[in-house]
Amino acid sequence: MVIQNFSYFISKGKSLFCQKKLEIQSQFLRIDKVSVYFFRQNKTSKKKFSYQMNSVSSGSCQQQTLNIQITEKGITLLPLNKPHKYCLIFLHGFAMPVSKFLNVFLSPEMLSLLSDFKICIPQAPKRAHGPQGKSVKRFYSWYDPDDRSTVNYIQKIAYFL
Amino acid sequence: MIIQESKLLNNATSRVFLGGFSQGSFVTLYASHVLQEKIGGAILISAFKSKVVDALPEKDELPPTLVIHGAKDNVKTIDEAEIDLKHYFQRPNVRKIVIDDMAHDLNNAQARTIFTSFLREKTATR
Repeated sequence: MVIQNFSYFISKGKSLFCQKKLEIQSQFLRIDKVSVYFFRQNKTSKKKFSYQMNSVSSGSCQQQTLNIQITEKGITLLPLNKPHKYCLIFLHGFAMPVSKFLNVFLSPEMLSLLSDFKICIPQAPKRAHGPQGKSVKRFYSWYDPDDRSTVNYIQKIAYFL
Repeated sequence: MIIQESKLLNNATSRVFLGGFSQGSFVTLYASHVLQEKIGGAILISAFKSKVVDALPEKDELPPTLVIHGAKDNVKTIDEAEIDLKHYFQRPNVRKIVIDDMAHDLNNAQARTIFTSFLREKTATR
Protein backbone atom coordinates (compact mmCIF):
# COMPACT_ATOMS: atom_id res chain seq x y z
CA MET A 1 0.00 0.00 0.00
CA VAL A 2 1.30 3.44 -0.91
CA ILE A 3 0.38 6.65 0.81
CA GLN A 4 1.34 9.77 -1.08
CA ASN A 5 0.97 12.16 1.80
CA PHE A 6 1.40 11.07 5.35
CA SER A 7 0.95 13.50 8.19
CA TYR A 8 3.01 12.79 11.24
CA PHE A 9 2.23 14.64 14.40
CA ILE A 10 4.55 15.03 17.32
CA SER A 11 3.33 16.71 20.43
CA LYS A 12 5.44 17.65 23.39
CA GLY A 13 3.56 17.82 26.64
CA LYS A 14 -0.11 17.03 26.20
CA SER A 15 -0.50 14.40 23.52
CA LEU A 16 -2.69 15.66 20.69
CA PHE A 17 -2.36 12.72 18.40
CA CYS A 18 -1.62 9.08 18.83
CA GLN A 19 2.05 9.11 17.95
CA LYS A 20 2.70 5.45 18.65
CA LYS A 21 -0.13 4.32 16.41
CA LEU A 22 1.31 6.34 13.55
CA GLU A 23 4.76 4.87 14.13
CA ILE A 24 3.34 1.37 13.91
CA GLN A 25 1.46 2.18 10.73
CA SER A 26 4.48 3.73 9.07
CA GLN A 27 6.50 0.52 9.44
CA PHE A 28 4.13 -1.30 7.13
CA LEU A 29 3.44 1.37 4.56
CA ARG A 30 5.49 2.94 1.83
CA ILE A 31 5.25 6.67 2.19
CA ASP A 32 6.15 9.00 -0.66
CA LYS A 33 5.92 12.24 1.19
CA VAL A 34 6.11 12.75 4.88
CA SER A 35 4.85 15.83 6.62
CA VAL A 36 6.16 16.23 10.13
CA TYR A 37 4.49 18.56 12.56
CA PHE A 38 6.32 19.54 15.70
CA PHE A 39 4.16 20.91 18.43
CA ARG A 40 5.50 22.99 21.24
CA GLN A 41 3.17 23.80 24.05
CA ASN A 42 3.46 27.44 25.10
CA LYS A 43 1.09 27.85 27.94
CA THR A 44 -0.84 25.41 30.01
CA SER A 45 -3.89 26.25 32.01
CA LYS A 46 -7.09 24.42 32.73
CA LYS A 47 -8.97 26.31 30.08
CA LYS A 48 -6.49 27.25 27.39
CA PHE A 49 -3.77 25.50 25.49
CA SER A 50 -1.63 27.28 22.99
CA TYR A 51 0.75 25.55 20.65
CA GLN A 52 3.27 26.60 18.11
CA MET A 53 3.50 24.26 15.20
CA ASN A 54 6.40 23.90 12.83
CA SER A 55 5.65 21.80 9.82
CA VAL A 56 8.40 20.34 7.70
CA SER A 57 7.48 18.64 4.50
CA SER A 58 10.15 16.34 3.10
CA GLY A 59 8.78 16.69 -0.42
CA SER A 60 8.94 20.43 -0.82
CA CYS A 61 11.04 21.41 2.19
CA GLN A 62 8.39 23.93 3.20
CA GLN A 63 8.42 25.27 6.69
CA GLN A 64 5.53 26.94 8.36
CA THR A 65 4.96 28.14 11.87
CA LEU A 66 1.48 28.39 13.27
CA ASN A 67 -0.19 29.34 16.46
CA ILE A 68 -2.87 26.92 17.61
CA GLN A 69 -5.14 27.94 20.46
CA ILE A 70 -7.35 25.31 21.99
CA THR A 71 -9.97 26.39 24.50
CA GLU A 72 -13.32 25.02 25.64
CA LYS A 73 -14.92 27.51 23.22
CA GLY A 74 -13.13 26.10 20.20
CA ILE A 75 -9.92 26.08 18.23
CA THR A 76 -8.19 28.96 16.50
CA LEU A 77 -5.40 28.43 14.00
CA LEU A 78 -3.42 31.38 12.75
CA PRO A 79 -0.07 32.23 11.22
CA LEU A 80 2.57 33.08 13.80
CA ASN A 81 4.43 36.41 13.69
CA LYS A 82 2.49 37.46 10.62
CA PRO A 83 -0.86 39.23 10.36
CA HIS A 84 -3.60 37.20 8.71
CA LYS A 85 -5.41 38.62 5.66
CA TYR A 86 -8.58 36.53 5.79
CA CYS A 87 -10.68 34.64 8.29
CA LEU A 88 -12.65 31.42 7.95
CA ILE A 89 -15.27 30.59 10.56
CA PHE A 90 -16.06 26.89 10.33
CA LEU A 91 -18.97 25.24 12.14
CA HIS A 92 -18.72 21.54 12.96
CA GLY A 93 -21.43 18.93 12.63
CA PHE A 94 -23.77 17.31 15.16
CA ALA A 95 -22.09 15.57 18.11
CA MET A 96 -18.60 16.42 16.90
CA PRO A 97 -15.84 17.80 19.08
CA VAL A 98 -13.87 20.53 17.28
CA SER A 99 -10.68 18.53 17.72
CA LYS A 100 -11.86 16.31 14.85
CA PHE A 101 -11.23 19.21 12.49
CA LEU A 102 -7.68 19.85 13.61
CA ASN A 103 -6.50 16.98 11.42
CA VAL A 104 -8.53 18.33 8.50
CA PHE A 105 -7.14 21.86 8.59
CA LEU A 106 -3.61 20.63 9.20
CA SER A 107 -3.78 18.21 6.28
CA PRO A 108 -1.35 18.74 3.37
CA GLU A 109 -4.22 19.94 1.13
CA MET A 110 -5.32 22.68 3.51
CA LEU A 111 -2.19 23.64 5.39
CA SER A 112 -1.27 26.26 2.78
CA LEU A 113 -4.40 28.24 3.72
CA LEU A 114 -2.79 28.99 7.03
CA SER A 115 -0.18 31.21 5.40
CA ASP A 116 -2.72 34.06 5.36
CA PHE A 117 -5.95 32.71 6.89
CA LYS A 118 -7.08 32.70 10.47
CA ILE A 119 -9.33 29.69 10.99
CA CYS A 120 -11.84 29.77 13.85
CA ILE A 121 -13.67 26.55 14.70
CA PRO A 122 -16.12 27.36 17.50
CA GLN A 123 -17.45 24.53 19.67
CA ALA A 124 -21.22 24.23 19.89
CA PRO A 125 -22.72 23.91 23.37
CA LYS A 126 -23.70 20.48 24.67
CA ARG A 127 -27.45 20.08 24.64
CA ALA A 128 -29.92 17.32 25.36
CA HIS A 129 -31.10 15.65 22.20
CA GLY A 130 -34.54 14.16 21.79
CA PRO A 131 -38.22 14.99 22.17
CA GLN A 132 -38.58 18.12 24.30
CA GLY A 133 -35.01 17.78 25.45
CA LYS A 134 -35.85 14.85 27.74
CA SER A 135 -33.10 12.62 26.45
CA VAL A 136 -30.39 11.94 28.99
CA LYS A 137 -27.70 12.04 26.33
CA ARG A 138 -26.12 15.38 25.63
CA PHE A 139 -24.32 16.16 22.40
CA TYR A 140 -22.43 19.07 20.92
CA SER A 141 -25.13 20.62 18.80
CA TRP A 142 -25.96 24.01 17.30
CA TYR A 143 -29.69 23.31 17.79
CA ASP A 144 -32.04 20.46 18.63
CA PRO A 145 -32.78 18.80 15.28
CA ASP A 146 -35.99 17.27 16.63
CA ASP A 147 -37.46 20.44 18.05
CA ARG A 148 -39.08 22.84 15.62
CA SER A 149 -39.16 25.60 18.21
CA THR A 150 -35.37 25.57 18.05
CA VAL A 151 -35.58 27.64 14.86
CA ASN A 152 -35.42 30.74 17.04
CA TYR A 153 -32.14 29.45 18.33
CA ILE A 154 -30.80 29.00 14.81
CA GLN A 155 -31.72 32.61 14.09
CA LYS A 156 -29.83 33.67 17.19
CA ILE A 157 -26.75 31.75 16.09
CA ALA A 158 -27.02 33.14 12.58
CA TYR A 159 -27.14 36.68 13.96
CA PHE A 160 -24.37 35.86 16.43
CA LEU A 161 -22.23 34.96 13.44
CA MET B 1 -18.31 37.07 15.36
CA ILE B 2 -18.04 38.20 11.72
CA ILE B 3 -17.97 41.84 12.84
CA GLN B 4 -15.43 41.01 15.52
CA GLU B 5 -13.17 39.23 13.03
CA SER B 6 -13.65 41.85 10.31
CA LYS B 7 -12.47 44.54 12.74
CA LEU B 8 -9.12 42.76 12.73
CA LEU B 9 -9.18 42.99 8.93
CA ASN B 10 -9.83 46.74 8.53
CA ASN B 11 -13.60 46.20 8.77
CA ALA B 12 -13.59 44.20 5.54
CA THR B 13 -16.37 41.64 6.02
CA SER B 14 -15.63 40.48 2.47
CA ARG B 15 -12.44 38.95 3.87
CA VAL B 16 -14.42 36.77 6.25
CA PHE B 17 -15.66 33.40 5.02
CA LEU B 18 -18.15 31.01 6.57
CA GLY B 19 -18.01 27.26 6.37
CA GLY B 20 -19.80 24.36 7.90
CA PHE B 21 -20.08 20.61 7.92
CA SER B 22 -23.44 18.77 8.16
CA GLN B 23 -25.45 20.45 10.93
CA GLY B 24 -22.92 23.30 10.85
CA SER B 25 -23.51 23.63 7.11
CA PHE B 26 -27.22 24.18 7.73
CA VAL B 27 -26.46 26.97 10.21
CA THR B 28 -24.02 28.44 7.65
CA LEU B 29 -26.66 28.13 4.94
CA TYR B 30 -29.25 29.83 7.14
CA ALA B 31 -26.79 32.55 8.17
CA SER B 32 -25.87 33.31 4.55
CA HIS B 33 -29.59 34.00 3.95
CA VAL B 34 -30.07 36.37 6.89
CA LEU B 35 -26.73 38.13 7.30
CA GLN B 36 -26.66 41.82 6.47
CA GLU B 37 -22.90 41.81 6.09
CA LYS B 38 -21.42 40.99 2.70
CA ILE B 39 -19.12 38.07 3.47
CA GLY B 40 -16.48 36.73 1.09
CA GLY B 41 -18.14 33.39 0.57
CA ALA B 42 -19.57 30.27 2.14
CA ILE B 43 -18.58 26.62 1.95
CA LEU B 44 -21.10 23.92 2.81
CA ILE B 45 -19.95 20.34 3.27
CA SER B 46 -22.64 17.63 3.29
CA ALA B 47 -25.35 20.28 3.36
CA PHE B 48 -29.06 19.81 3.95
CA LYS B 49 -32.09 21.78 5.01
CA SER B 50 -33.11 20.87 8.53
CA LYS B 51 -36.71 19.93 9.14
CA VAL B 52 -36.89 22.55 11.91
CA VAL B 53 -37.50 25.20 9.25
CA ASP B 54 -40.12 25.07 6.51
CA ALA B 55 -38.15 27.17 4.11
CA LEU B 56 -35.03 29.24 3.99
CA PRO B 57 -35.52 33.00 4.32
CA GLU B 58 -35.74 34.95 1.06
CA LYS B 59 -32.64 36.83 -0.03
CA ASP B 60 -31.89 38.46 -3.36
CA GLU B 61 -28.15 38.10 -3.43
CA LEU B 62 -26.27 35.28 -1.78
CA PRO B 63 -22.52 35.21 -1.17
CA PRO B 64 -20.46 33.04 -3.53
CA THR B 65 -21.09 29.55 -2.24
CA LEU B 66 -19.45 26.17 -2.73
CA VAL B 67 -21.43 23.06 -1.84
CA ILE B 68 -19.51 19.78 -1.57
CA HIS B 69 -21.43 16.55 -1.12
CA GLY B 70 -20.26 12.94 -1.13
CA ALA B 71 -21.93 10.43 -3.41
CA LYS B 72 -21.34 7.82 -0.69
CA ASP B 73 -22.94 9.95 2.01
CA ASN B 74 -25.52 7.73 3.66
CA VAL B 75 -26.38 10.11 6.51
CA LYS B 76 -27.82 12.64 4.11
CA THR B 77 -27.75 11.27 0.58
CA ILE B 78 -27.11 13.50 -2.40
CA ASP B 79 -30.65 12.73 -3.64
CA GLU B 80 -32.13 13.99 -0.35
CA ALA B 81 -29.94 17.10 -0.50
CA GLU B 82 -31.05 17.71 -4.10
CA ILE B 83 -34.71 17.61 -3.02
CA ASP B 84 -34.11 19.73 0.11
CA LEU B 85 -32.10 22.38 -1.65
CA LYS B 86 -33.40 22.21 -5.22
CA HIS B 87 -34.11 25.97 -5.49
CA TYR B 88 -30.95 26.86 -3.67
CA PHE B 89 -28.75 24.90 -6.07
CA GLN B 90 -30.24 26.87 -8.97
CA ARG B 91 -29.07 30.21 -7.57
CA PRO B 92 -26.39 31.86 -9.74
CA ASN B 93 -23.73 32.19 -7.03
CA VAL B 94 -24.00 28.59 -5.84
CA ARG B 95 -21.61 25.96 -7.17
CA LYS B 96 -22.33 22.32 -6.33
CA ILE B 97 -19.71 19.57 -6.53
CA VAL B 98 -20.40 15.88 -5.92
CA ILE B 99 -17.41 13.71 -5.05
CA ASP B 100 -17.76 10.05 -5.94
CA ASP B 101 -15.75 8.44 -3.16
CA MET B 102 -16.70 10.80 -0.36
CA ALA B 103 -18.92 9.78 2.55
CA HIS B 104 -20.35 11.96 5.36
CA ASP B 105 -17.00 13.35 6.45
CA LEU B 106 -14.09 15.48 5.33
CA ASN B 107 -11.59 12.62 5.13
CA ASN B 108 -11.31 13.10 1.42
CA ALA B 109 -8.28 14.71 -0.16
CA GLN B 110 -10.20 15.81 -3.26
CA ALA B 111 -12.82 17.60 -1.15
CA ARG B 112 -10.14 19.34 0.87
CA THR B 113 -8.32 20.40 -2.32
CA ILE B 114 -11.54 21.83 -3.81
CA PHE B 115 -12.26 23.59 -0.51
CA THR B 116 -8.79 25.21 -0.57
CA SER B 117 -9.02 26.12 -4.28
CA PHE B 118 -12.37 27.86 -3.73
CA LEU B 119 -10.94 30.03 -0.96
CA ARG B 120 -7.84 30.78 -3.05
CA GLU B 121 -10.03 31.72 -6.01
CA LYS B 122 -12.18 34.05 -3.91
CA THR B 123 -9.22 35.70 -2.23
CA ALA B 124 -7.14 36.12 -5.39
CA THR B 125 -8.81 39.43 -6.24
CA ARG B 126 -8.96 40.79 -2.70
